[in-house]
Amino acid sequence: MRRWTRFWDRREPPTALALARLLVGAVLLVDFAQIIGYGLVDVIFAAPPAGLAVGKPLVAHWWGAAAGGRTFAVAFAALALFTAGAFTRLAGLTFALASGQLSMLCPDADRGIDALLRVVVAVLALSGSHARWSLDALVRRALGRPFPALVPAWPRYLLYLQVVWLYFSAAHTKADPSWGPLGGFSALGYVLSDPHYARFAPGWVSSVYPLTQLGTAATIVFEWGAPLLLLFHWWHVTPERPGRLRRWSNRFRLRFVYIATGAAFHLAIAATLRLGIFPFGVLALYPLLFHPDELRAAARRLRLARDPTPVAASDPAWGRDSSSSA
Amino acid sequence: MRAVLIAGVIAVALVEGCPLPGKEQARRLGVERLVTGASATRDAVLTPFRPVFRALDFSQRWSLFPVADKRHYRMVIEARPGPETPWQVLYRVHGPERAAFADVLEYRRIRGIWNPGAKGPRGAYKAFCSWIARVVFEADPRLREARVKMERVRVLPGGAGVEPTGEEAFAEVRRR
Repeated sequence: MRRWTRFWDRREPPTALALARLLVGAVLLVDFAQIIGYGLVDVIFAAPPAGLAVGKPLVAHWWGAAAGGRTFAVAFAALALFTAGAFTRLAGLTFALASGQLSMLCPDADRGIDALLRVVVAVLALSGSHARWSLDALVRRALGRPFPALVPAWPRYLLYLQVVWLYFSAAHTKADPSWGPLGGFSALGYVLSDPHYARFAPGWVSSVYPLTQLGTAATIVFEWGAPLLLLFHWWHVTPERPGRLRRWSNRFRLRFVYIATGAAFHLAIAATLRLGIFPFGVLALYPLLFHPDELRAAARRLRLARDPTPVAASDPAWGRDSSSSA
Repeated sequence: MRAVLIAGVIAVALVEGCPLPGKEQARRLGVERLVTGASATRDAVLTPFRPVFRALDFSQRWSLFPVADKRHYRMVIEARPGPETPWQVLYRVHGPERAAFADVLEYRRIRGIWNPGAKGPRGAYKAFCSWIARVVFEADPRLREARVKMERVRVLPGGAGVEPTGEEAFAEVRRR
């Protein structure tokens, strides 16, 4: 119990949480901008006969016919503030609740990625994601009361578990035989040929059909193997402990192989399927799979690759080292 | 305290997200009583937390293309000036007919409304048909009837394309 408590009490720089806040916010803002750009606010969120909002959540009882437009405006404003890191906690929680109401107004227009990012924003709102790269942080510094350099790590750990569960849960629901050997691993071939989702007119898949079969098998392995990421991570941060599997996992960098595979899958489906913000929304969570020190080291390597001039050991933009390396 | 709360959050999420077979599948596997009991237990455990799930409108049961069938639907939108004239195709997914409102139709949230699910058309499908008919009528005052329907297509072996099966479903006609 003490170990459990110590684990969830860890602190670290807010880098990963802040980056996730910016990326998730940006993805959602693009989606909301699309709704506005297509003139769909009064279509999706207005009740029939004018619109498609067949649900009757709380806001419909409060605001009647104006519920859709007002709730959308509240959600959009809250999202913009959350992304900019202004009144972040209130803005994030407001967005999560307003988005939930929008979902209930028109359930069919609310997809899995919207529900996922709603939960993510709620958790980020309760985290120290606004302690860096935010208006809140700017104001606090100007007032002489900057945020602490280290923030609680538990929100990142919780969202890390959320990503793992997302994939593992998706594996459970893939009951169709086409996802397995009995169906010839034909699932991806069928999905890529679905006129409603395929980015390109069906037919091109035949030229890469064996690859789609490999991709189908790899998807199943990837999703069922999601909990292994936790094990790979544990082995990565405890290399001094004994164990052949630990050594083997660290030698072949299985943790990074798994994460890179996930990123590749999402980029591939973004290129070949019209899934909207789904692949980008999930990729926006990937910084949470890394400790802030790892992100800082990666940024430093990128900078050195672009400009080999020696840089200061500690870069204030990415924060100082934390005591934990998980 | 925080660690205990987090443990509780994780436990509730796992209970809510735990996949239980449906009635039909449970009957086939001969575990109907077990599944019914587990489902009732899950409902009881989750009752105090339902307001949170409702407020954020989410579940921890995630699916991405759970069903990958070789048979798909392909939406077609048609219109005509009157019942005595033939239907004119205004929009067909991946077809040469691409109406001005194609981008809007293919936007993921709108597609989520008209794309049939495993159990058929979704709740707002009829409202969508009424709305798109209004869009069609506003774009061309000559048109007096609009029809939305789903053609059934089948994926050819090896992903060599799709072919119509001749079946159609979920046709909805609207008149000006």
